[in-house]
Amino acid sequence: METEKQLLQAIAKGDRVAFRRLYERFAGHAVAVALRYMGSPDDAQDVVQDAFVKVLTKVGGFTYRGEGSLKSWVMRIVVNTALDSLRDRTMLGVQVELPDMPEEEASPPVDRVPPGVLNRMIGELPPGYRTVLNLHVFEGYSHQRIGELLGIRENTSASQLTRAKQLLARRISEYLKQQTTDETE
Amino acid sequence: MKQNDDWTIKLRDRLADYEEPVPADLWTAIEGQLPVAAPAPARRVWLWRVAAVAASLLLLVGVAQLFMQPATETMNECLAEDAQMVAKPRVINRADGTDEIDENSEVNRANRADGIDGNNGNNGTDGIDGENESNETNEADGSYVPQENLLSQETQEPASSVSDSKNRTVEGVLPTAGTHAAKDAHRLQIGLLASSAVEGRSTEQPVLMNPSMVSQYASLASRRSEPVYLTDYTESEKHHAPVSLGLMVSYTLTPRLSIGSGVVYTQLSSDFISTVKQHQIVRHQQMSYVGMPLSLQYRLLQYHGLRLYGGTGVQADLNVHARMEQDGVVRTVAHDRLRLSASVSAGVQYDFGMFGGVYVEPGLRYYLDNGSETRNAMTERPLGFGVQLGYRISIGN
Repeated sequence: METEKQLLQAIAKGDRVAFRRLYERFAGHAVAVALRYMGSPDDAQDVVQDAFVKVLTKVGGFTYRGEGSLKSWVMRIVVNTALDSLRDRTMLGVQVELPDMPEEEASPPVDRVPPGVLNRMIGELPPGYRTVLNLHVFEGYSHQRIGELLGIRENTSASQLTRAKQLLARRISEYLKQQTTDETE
Repeated sequence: MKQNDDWTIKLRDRLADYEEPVPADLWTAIEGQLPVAAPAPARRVWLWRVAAVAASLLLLVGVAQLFMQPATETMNECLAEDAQMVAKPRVINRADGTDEIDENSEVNRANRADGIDGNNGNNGTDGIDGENESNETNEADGSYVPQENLLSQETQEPASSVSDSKNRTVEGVLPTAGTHAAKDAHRLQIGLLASSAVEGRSTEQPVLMNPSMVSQYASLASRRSEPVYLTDYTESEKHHAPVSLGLMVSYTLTPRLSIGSGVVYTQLSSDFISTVKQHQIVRHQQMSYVGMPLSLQYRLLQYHGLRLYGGTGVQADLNVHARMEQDGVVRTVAHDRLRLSASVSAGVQYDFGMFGGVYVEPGLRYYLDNGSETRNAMTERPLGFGVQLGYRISIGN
């Protein structure tokens, strides 16, 4: 398999076909990431399209820092483009009316849920919840950094994360119960 | 780590390489938006700076040429007239080929009436001082000073060199293009400048965990009162030295003191780097300011075309543009408030042309805290050492 370094070298030489190879290599994961942030497949497609235009026009300035660094860079652009899109739609911010939540489920068995279902569940969380969850769990951002990025307080980020985890855990439990019911029938 | 957090780690690992089906027409849409040319190479900050300095120098030379061409011709005509007026009565070509000052010329006779001899008591070492001081001396004596005399005074040497003056040639006595005596008659100067601080500032620091989060981690429960730093997460900042380009106009208040103002464009850039495990996230901030300086300059020394001066000033900078770029995504950020600064400097200027000279002016500048949350070289290194380069053109009398 072509390494990221080889792919970048081909792009640096002006090989336009290498652009297509870069796209094919990361597009699937990019769509999954965009879906987690946007919720809607159409919105996710728009984000991936915008993100890859940025990637392919700026890849000449990318500094290679080892295998995996290109993927990280591409996904960061996808995430940032998604955040911009959410910001434009004013979908970010504090969930003012926090719904009544049950106590947090203790370690929901995520390994029993297919990845596609988990991905969709995250995308279906309220925008504020899923954005904080995505940034904290998948991007590894601190609440301070999330607060700066979204224009909210650190404590708000922390509480939104707690709510997001509670809601997601409940949906995982409901999904697994439904699966059990379907199997017994 | 708290037990309940384990499932989010599993969640992250489970989706780490997950891929969704890609819409069939997505590549066609992307390809249609791509430029035809190959991607541009990485931009280098130093290259930008060199280009900026080169462009400003080219601009300086171009503007200087524009001003100097017609003015030089006019000044040469004036000098030619002056030469005729001053030289004819004062210099005699001797038969042996040497020149001497005509002791009986009208100019010197008029001066002798003041009892000062042929040099009018003009002890100033430069043209500006000499002109003013000699006029005052003559007027105090109540004697009439003809216009020709004033012209000749500007060109004569101090009284201590009376005997030497007898052996001077016309070229040695008359003002020539490029001498400071002629230039000092100009009251207004226009200057273009480029400046940069010598160094920016870099910091790196660990990141504290939010105290409210510490309580959620069982293993940290006993350390609630202590600061807890996040592992595998550091933040660093690099504030690059500001670069300025400007246009200044200065007015000579006294022979040694001048006041100046103008407009200065300053660009600052900073990199905010978050390192999460092995990944680096770089946010690049660019801020532009348009400033209005007010400065005073005092000439300390002058030797031929070389002058040494000291200066001080204040400047108000208005932030006109602020943006943050991360991985190709650009967004605007909050503008800085009006920023005031004060400076002291010392400069050396060399006049190589009739209407101007190049100068280098190292100095210190201190930016006052304006209470904003902006972070750039002005805030993180408020006291900075910088060097200004420029070209000054003298216009008008």
